[in-house]
Formats: sequence, C-alpha cells, structure tokens
Amino acid sequence: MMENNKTKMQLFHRLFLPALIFIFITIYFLEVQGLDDPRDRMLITPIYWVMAAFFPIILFQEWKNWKAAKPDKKEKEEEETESYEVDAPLSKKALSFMVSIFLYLFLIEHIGFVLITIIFLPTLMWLLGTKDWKLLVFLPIIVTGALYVLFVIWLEIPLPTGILL
Amino acid sequence: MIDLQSLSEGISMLISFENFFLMIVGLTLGVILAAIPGFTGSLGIAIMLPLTFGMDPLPSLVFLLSIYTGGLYGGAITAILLNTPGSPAAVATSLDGYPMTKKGFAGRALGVAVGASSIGGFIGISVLLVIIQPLAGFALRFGPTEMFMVAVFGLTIIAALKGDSFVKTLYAGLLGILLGTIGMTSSGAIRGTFGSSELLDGIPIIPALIGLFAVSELFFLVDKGYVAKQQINRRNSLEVMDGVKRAFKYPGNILRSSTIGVFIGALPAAGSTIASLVSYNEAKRASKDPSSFGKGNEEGVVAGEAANNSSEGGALATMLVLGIPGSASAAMLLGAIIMQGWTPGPRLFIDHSDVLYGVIFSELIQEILLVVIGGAFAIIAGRIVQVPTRVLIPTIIVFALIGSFAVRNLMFDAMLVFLFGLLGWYLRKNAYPTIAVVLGLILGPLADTELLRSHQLYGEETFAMFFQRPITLILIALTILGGITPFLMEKKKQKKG
Repeated sequence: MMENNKTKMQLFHRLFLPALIFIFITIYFLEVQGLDDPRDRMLITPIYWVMAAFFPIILFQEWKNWKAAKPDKKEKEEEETESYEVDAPLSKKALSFMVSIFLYLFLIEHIGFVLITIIFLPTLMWLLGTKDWKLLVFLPIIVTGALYVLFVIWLEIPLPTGILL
Repeated sequence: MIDLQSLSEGISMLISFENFFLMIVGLTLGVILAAIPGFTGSLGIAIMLPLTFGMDPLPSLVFLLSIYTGGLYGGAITAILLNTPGSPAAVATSLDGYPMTKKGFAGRALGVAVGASSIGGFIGISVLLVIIQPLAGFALRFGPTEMFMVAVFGLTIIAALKGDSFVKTLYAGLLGILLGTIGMTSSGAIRGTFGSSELLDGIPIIPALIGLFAVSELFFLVDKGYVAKQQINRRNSLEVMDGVKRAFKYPGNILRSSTIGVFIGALPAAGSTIASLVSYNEAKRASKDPSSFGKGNEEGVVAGEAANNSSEGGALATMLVLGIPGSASAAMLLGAIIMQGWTPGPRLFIDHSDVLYGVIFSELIQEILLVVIGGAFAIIAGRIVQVPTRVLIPTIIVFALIGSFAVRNLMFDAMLVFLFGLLGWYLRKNAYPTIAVVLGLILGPLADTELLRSHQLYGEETFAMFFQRPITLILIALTILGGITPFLMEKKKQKKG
C-alpha cells in the first residue's frame, strides 16, 4: 500500500511540473492577447503554441516512463541519467534550508541585515550539522562584518537596517 | 592597417609606473568582484568610474579596462568551483568546469580557464589592433533581421543539450524565452509583470542565474558533506599551473573560439555571453567526443573562456571606431570616454589614435599579467571546495542573496534568487536542463526586440526580408545545420552502437 502511494506520488511529481509550467504560460499568453499592438505578441504566440503541442507529448512520455520504471530498475535508471538529483527525496535538511531562506528574506527588512544575519548564519550552520561553537560564534560575525564593510562602507550600498534605524 | 607612428607614441605614453600599478590593481579588483556571485566586471567598472574623474584619459581607460579584463575571467572561478557563474558570460564555463571540480580537478579547471582566458584575450586584442576598422565596418551591416538570426542561432545550443528527453529540453528552453519576454516592450506595452514594477525591465538575469545555478545546487549539496571528494590543498598550485599549460594543448579550439568571440563581441548587444555559448556549442560539434561535454571536458572550459575574453577585442572595436557599445561594460567605458570630453564615433580614433593605441597595447600586457594574478587567485580560491558544506552553504547563500539585492538595491531580487532556486531545483529533480531556461532567458529578449525592430523597418515584408539578405541567409543555414547536427550525430552514434 505504502509502495503504491509512493509510486503514485512519483507520477504526480512527473506530471505536476509540466502542468504547472503550462498553466503559467497559458495565463501569460492570455494576458498578452489583450495587448493592442499585435507586434508585442509576435514572438510569444508561436512559442506558446509549440509549447502547447509539446505538453501532451511530455505527459505521455512521463506516464510511459513511470509505467516502465519498476523498483528493481531504479538503480539502473539512476545510472543512465548520470545525475544524482533525479528522484532524490526532499530531505529534512533541504526543507529546513528552504524554509530558513524564506524566513531570512521575510525578516531582513523588519529586523535589519546585521541582526538577522547574525542570527540566521549560526542557526543554519547548526541545522546543517555544525557543532563547533567557535565556528558558530565567530564565522557569522566575520561574514556579517565582511559583507557590511564590502557593501555599506566600501561600495556605499545601503543594506536593510530594520529596527536598528 | 596599423598606424605605426601612433602606436609607438601610444606605447611610450603607456610605459610608466602609474599605468602598471593601475593595471595590477584593476585586474585584481576585476577578478575579485566578478568572482562574487551577483557582481560582474561591468558593476566593477561602474563602481570605479567616479575614481577616474581626475585622471588623464590614458590611465583612466587603462584602469577601467583592467577591471573589465579581470572581470571576464573572474566569473569563471565560482562557475568552476561552485556552479555559480560570477557573471552571465561564465555560464558556458560552468557546464564543464563544475563537473571537473566534482571529479576532483578544480585546480586544473581553474588553470585551464586562466590559460584560455589569457590566450583568448591576447588573440582578441591582437585582432583588434590589426583589423579594428574593417571588422567594425562589417558588424555595422548587421540589421535587426541579422541580429534576430544571431539570437535564434544561439538558441540552437538548446537542441544540442543532452537531457532526459529532447521535448523536455525544448520545453524548458521555450519557457526561458517566454520568461525573457516579461517586462515593458520597446513599444511601451507591459507583459507578464503581474503588476510588479520591479519586473518592468524584465526578469533581471543575475538573480535568475544565481537562483537557477547556485541556489538549486545548494539545495542538493545540503545533504552532502563536501562539494567534491578530493584532496587539493597540497597540490592545488601545481594543478593550476598544469591547467594553464593544458590550455595550450587546444590551439584549434582556442583559435576557433577566439575568432567567434571577436566577431560576436563586435556585434552590438551580442556580447561575451552569447560568444561563449556559441563557441562552446561549436567546440562540442567539432569534438571527437561530444558526449563528454557537460561531464567535465576541459575543452568546454577552453572554448567558453577563450571566447568570452576575446569578445573584449570585438566589443572594443565597435565601441572605439563606431561609438557603439557591444556590451554593458563597453557602454560604461564609453561613458568614461565621454567623461574625458571626447566624442564617440568614427572621428574618435582619428583624433586620439595615439592614446587609444596605447590603451589597446596595455590590453596585451594585461592579458599576460592575468595569468599571474588570475592564477594566484585561483590557487587561493581552489581551497573553497574543501570547506565542509555545513559551513560553505550558509556563507554562500548570504553572499548570493545580498549580492543580488545589491545590484538594484531591491529585496525583490533576493526573493527572485530564492524562487529561481526552487524552480531550478524542481526542474533538475524532473530531469529538465536548467541551462536551457537560462539560454532562453538571455537570448529571448534579444530575439524579441530584434523581431519587433525588423517589423518596424520592413512591415509586412519582414518574413521575405529574412530570405533576401545574404548575412541572414547564411545565419539561417547555420541555424538549420546547428539544429539538425545533434540528431544526425545521435543517429550516427546509434548506427555505430
């Protein structure tokens, strides 16, 4: 039962991405059709229709590949693609990394670059497995300081100050 | 072809401690700045431009051009070590440079890159010195139909990419083109911005590149202890030197790539990125073992680096003789020339030939100095891959996000890095090549603009004009050839197999 659900999820992943892309380009295509000057959609229209023709082909290919892929063939398949990333599961580490980036970007403008980076760096390092406290303390200070000197002092590019303002 | 008197006057003006010092500082700055993801050589020139206000024309141009030269190579360092092209021109280098790092040949790849950059750049500048005027004159004959075909020709690289399926590769490439058309058109219409004013100039290429290449790679690397399983500390300097020597083993590749680089560099708006991608593709086509490209073939690194550095010669040709900047960096150099009170255009070279010959000659010296400075930096930078990912990843992600933010001072761009990172990760998980999306993103806007310009010029005759202009016809033939060659090669291989 578990195995069955797993393979169904694999099929979902295979079909989800081309479908998502197709939905996005369809919205874009429909928006562009509303433009007054036909020259503004001269390149977009033919490309959309080519992609629309490819979409069912890709769905069929993915379905065929999913059906053909049996669990005992998995190892061989990975070898053929020569890519370690295909079908690699989303690990807890990778997920927490993604979430932490999102939180960092969300909070940087509120809390400010210096404070959030000093908090973000050791937290992420710890999540990824760093246990050396010296590294957890000094590296964030060095990296944040270096970035501050490079951008704010040397290049005069203001970074978000947040609550420090 | 060369005005020897002006050249000797230029050389005598150039030889001074000040100019050599500026060359070394400029090259070092260029290499370091371009190696930071999100930064490019052109940003380095922009930052340093105000410093040259008080300088004489010769040292000012020598300094800015040194940043340019260093920047053209610098982008390759992170492209090779971390799959993060420091600049768009280093995209082609990452295709084989990063697989070389993964195989444990980071030092060699960096050495090959610096060697090829230096030789390519030297060839490009030599060509500039000799045929500056005829070359620029030919490039001026390129109208919008020719430029459109240059973009389409560049897109044939997608057909040559080896992916899970040809249709999926094309699907990804076409998505890239559509993403590249987002923003305000030259007629003032707004497309696909979904109300975001930050997208009016289109999707910024730097955050897209960093996201698709670097951040997606970090999402995969997070589960690995190290970027590569190899010991390079002790032998890295020897490997870099060995790599420099190995670059000389491919004279045909270097000559072909440099020629393509000079020519495409001379075409307005084409620039080093397209030059390196086209050269990479040609090197792959000409190779006896094209299937090894993308898996760590040093010929790929040679092609990309020789072309993007030689494109400097072409870009300078159109800039100095015609006043047309072939790239963003050339545009800023043109700004520096205007800042000196000089008027760009055909008279520029006639009125200031001695100074400009001095500037061009300084470029030859810079290419030699690049081996030393770039090589030294490569030895230090090569140690990056031995840092555990638990330390490396947090540091890189902060640099990548803040670097992208700094380009336009917009947090939106940092968010784009994250979103493109997710897109790249998901594409790769489903065996879609991210490079196809990048190619579309780079060449899509060019194709779109030039098609619009063609229509503005020729109206209903546009389609017919593509078959009436000889250069366009040649480009159409090359495009067809470029599109079908991978199929023919594959069929030939299947027959043999």
